[in-house]
Amino acid sequence: MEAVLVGRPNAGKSLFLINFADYLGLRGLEGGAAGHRRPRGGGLSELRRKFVSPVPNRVREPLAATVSLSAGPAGGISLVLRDTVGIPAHGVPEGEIRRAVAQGLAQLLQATFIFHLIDVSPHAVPTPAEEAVDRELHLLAQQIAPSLILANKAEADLGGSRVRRLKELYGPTSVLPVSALTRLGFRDVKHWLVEQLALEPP
Amino acid sequence: MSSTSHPAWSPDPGLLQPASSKEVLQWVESGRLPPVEALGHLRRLKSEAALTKATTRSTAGDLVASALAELDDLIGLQPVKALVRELKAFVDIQARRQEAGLKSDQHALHMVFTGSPGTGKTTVARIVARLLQGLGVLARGHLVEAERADLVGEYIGHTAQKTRELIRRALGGVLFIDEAYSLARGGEKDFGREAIDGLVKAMEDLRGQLVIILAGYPVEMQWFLATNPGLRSRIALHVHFPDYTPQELVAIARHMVREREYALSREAELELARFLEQQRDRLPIHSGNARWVRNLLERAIRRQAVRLSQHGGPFSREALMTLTWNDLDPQGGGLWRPS
Repeated sequence: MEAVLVGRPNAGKSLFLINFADYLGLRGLEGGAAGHRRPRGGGLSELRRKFVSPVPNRVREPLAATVSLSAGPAGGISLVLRDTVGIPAHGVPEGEIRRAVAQGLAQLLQATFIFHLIDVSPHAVPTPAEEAVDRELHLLAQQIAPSLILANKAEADLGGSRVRRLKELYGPTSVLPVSALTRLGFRDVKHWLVEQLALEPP
Repeated sequence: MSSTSHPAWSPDPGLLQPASSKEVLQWVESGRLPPVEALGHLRRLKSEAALTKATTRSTAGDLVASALAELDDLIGLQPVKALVRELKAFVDIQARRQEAGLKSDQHALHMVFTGSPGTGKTTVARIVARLLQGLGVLARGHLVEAERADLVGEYIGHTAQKTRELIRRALGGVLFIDEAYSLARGGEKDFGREAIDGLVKAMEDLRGQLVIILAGYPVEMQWFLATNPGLRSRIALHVHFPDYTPQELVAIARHMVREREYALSREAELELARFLEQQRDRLPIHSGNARWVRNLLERAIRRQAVRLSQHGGPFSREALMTLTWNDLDPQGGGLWRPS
């Protein structure tokens, strides 16, 4: 089972992956650079340095983390959290990033669950083109698998106007305010996952 | 993005659209399609696929009929076919009894398939899965194939988790465990024990939600079941897959080449029959292995291509289709792997 993280560049996918995996109980890592398969002490902060950056499209070889999830009578279920490259609003000149975007879309199509991250901090107010990416992404995600919009960097959305706007656009139950940095909302995301696992048809 | 290499492309969606998700991804990679448009195309393709699936979704009756037809198409395997039909009749009648308010036997339908490799166990398991779906026993009717490595972990607790996950994946379908006896290979301290315990528990707790088929060589499976009474008592059906006879193997070969739009030359067919007869009881083939035949034919197809290309064209349709005895060359390199 894979929960795939998607979103525009710099939505905070990589930091969310690392911190949420840490929160759920990290079992192992793959992808990214070699040598990160088994994080020892301090492994996560090293990963944060390596994979989290204000420069968009930093992640070209995204990480995937195996975590364990306790869900009722079924006991511990292991789940892969998979990061993908940000989907840009415009065409991409670099072939390497295009390839990574295509690969990310392929992973999205295979997802069991989808987390769609949207940056709601005040300096990331989207252009119409960027909003179109999120709209398309949301519509596609809904067709593929149970999906949830994570309004990330919610701690910076003072007054909550951006989260409100997303709830108006996508429906109140499709949006969850979170913060990859402060771990705000992680419990709710976990609950959502557990609920989906219980609902999933046999 | 160079527009000269794709003069036909235009942003007008009516003109040229990617026909599959794979194509969408290729176009994104080549820069032909901006990512945001790719999202729209993927959504369109996804909903089209959902639509065709909904309109062509077969009814339960169709599923049963097509599964049985596929079973009948298999060459040989008479006792297997008879047992599968018995199974169908049994499930049918239990359902009728239930409708009539009579006591119906709700026992689980876990099975053991014994037979040499390449005798059709996996193929029949797949058919059984669809049959049971059509009969309303299984919700999804898919087949999950597994072997020891998929169940047994490397450290304490790992096995239980792997086994649980595999069972979860198989819910609503058939879990097919090949060479199941290898789970008991390592003795008492081996983690395989843990996997067996997990399977026994699933057989009991999840009956009706999943059918487990344990497969392997007859002798080893007999020993395996004898030493694991917990498993044995939960097996409803034991199906033995006899080795194919040389005649059946030739029929299989004929069927396989026809499917690939090739044909065996008359000489090739006769020589193959003679060869199989001679080798019976001697080489690995004595086990009546259809997989060996497939490998032989696939190699013959490659050898035919080499032969033709060395010869030079033009080629008649017949020449392009015909596999000769020389192409088959069963004693040639790279094929015999005596077990």
